[in-house]
Amino acid sequence: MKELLDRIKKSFKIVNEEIKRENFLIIEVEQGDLKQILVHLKYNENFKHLALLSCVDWIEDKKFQLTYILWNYKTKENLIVKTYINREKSDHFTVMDIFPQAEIYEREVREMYGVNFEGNSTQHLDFALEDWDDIPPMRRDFDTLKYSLENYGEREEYDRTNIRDIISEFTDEWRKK
Amino acid sequence: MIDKKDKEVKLFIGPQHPGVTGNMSFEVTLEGDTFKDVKTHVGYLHRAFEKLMERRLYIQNFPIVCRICVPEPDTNENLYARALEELYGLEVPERAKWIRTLVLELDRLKMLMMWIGGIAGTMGLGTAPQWSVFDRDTVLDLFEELTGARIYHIYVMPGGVRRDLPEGFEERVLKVIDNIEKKLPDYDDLVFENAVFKKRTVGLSKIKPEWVEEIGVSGPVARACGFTYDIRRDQPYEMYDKLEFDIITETGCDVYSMAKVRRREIENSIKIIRQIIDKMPKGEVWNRPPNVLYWKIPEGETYVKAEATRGEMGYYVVSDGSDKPRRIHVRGASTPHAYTLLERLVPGMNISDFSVTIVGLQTCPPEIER
Repeated sequence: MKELLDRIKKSFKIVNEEIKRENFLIIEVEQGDLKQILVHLKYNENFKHLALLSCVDWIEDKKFQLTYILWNYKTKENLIVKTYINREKSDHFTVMDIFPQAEIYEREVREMYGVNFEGNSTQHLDFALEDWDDIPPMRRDFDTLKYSLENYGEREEYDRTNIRDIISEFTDEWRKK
Repeated sequence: MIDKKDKEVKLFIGPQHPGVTGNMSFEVTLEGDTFKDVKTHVGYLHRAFEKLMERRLYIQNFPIVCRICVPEPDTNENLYARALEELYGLEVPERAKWIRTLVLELDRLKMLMMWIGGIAGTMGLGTAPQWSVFDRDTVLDLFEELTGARIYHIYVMPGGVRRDLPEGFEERVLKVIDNIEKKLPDYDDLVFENAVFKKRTVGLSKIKPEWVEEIGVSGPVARACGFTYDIRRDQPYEMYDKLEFDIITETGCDVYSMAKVRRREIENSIKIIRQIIDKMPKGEVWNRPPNVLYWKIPEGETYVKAEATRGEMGYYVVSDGSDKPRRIHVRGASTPHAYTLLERLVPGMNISDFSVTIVGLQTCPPEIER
């Protein structure tokens, strides 16, 4: 993976890097460089398979992390390319033109995090939710309990706020036996 | 809904339909009984698992991950456990790895038996599902003995497996796989060499080989196009690098080739299981992590993957150093199959062939919407 990393570094600016396993590299790049790097990786380095596009909400840093997981069929190497985008103004671009399967992953990220993928004409279509009118549900500030109480009401008999106490209670009794 | 001067009909197939694998629906446009296009809709089984997992301790997520694919839960448990082990740096004893490989192959075997029932049932070959579901049940009996549960086992744990094999378990596994192997010629007569089956599937849903890399097709669907991508060999996990097995490929690129690949995968699994039982050493089965109720995983991220029956299954896990995961994203093989690939396969297809195609692709909606 060291050679691959050196080759990428020759042409592009890498913000951060980590060799995870002997065939698994993680690199962090600037949002502006991402598309060029993906094109380079697909056509010059043979990373033809986009296994997944994922998003992570770093609410405390006001950032979204977008992660592209790639695989090289020939050299059998994994590569994660990640970038951070502004959480408040979450505009990004599509990579459908490079990886056609990104269309669906982008649709999902759009629905679950509200990231706008410029150039993806089908991103507004529903993925798993229908007529969702709250904030995107996978964002860390989406209050699941509040949503649940508003839409489904309260279940009084079901109070499990401190799961550790409950589990300890059971395991202690079990140990006594 | 009828439009374009009464020529085209819009129709919903699913979410409850005997010819659709699980709860998903397809919005199709028909002209006569020929398909013009299809739009896949999921969400009927969305249980917000990924969101739920962010609010739970690492150990509490095991009962969730196995529910991501109902007929094949152990791949999910295995991947989740492997991701945590990698992030925490937990070693797994050798015997535990062998047991995990055995569990994965038994899981694959029972999934394939169920699939035979699915594809045969879709064509109205009613006998095969009765047989194959019975044979799957014999594997489930083994799981019940091993784990205490038939469907959701929660057997694989970070650092190993919950308990060692019961006494005499290996002999009972051999008996079950011998029995299934003995019946395979009957399945051939009943399904795979059946004239009706061949007539319906040969040449159906032809995949262009270049789509495999372009879309990210994997598993038996890719191998039916002669594409030798099998994660068990390309990126070996557990004990697959110590085992001899074939990468099964066909060249027809149609539903019949997919069926043949899966049929031969059964033999492959049986061959692997025999080797595992032969080679499995004695020893510890669980290197326990610290108190799991206070278990914190160091900051980091990883992606682990495995060859599930449907293709590449992967877990992307991000930890922020706390006792709960920051993000878990599950990659199922069904996402590219049920969307991009299906949209390309459907135009010009007859309505009666649609269910056969869906079962041929072996799509599993819960892993698409989690």
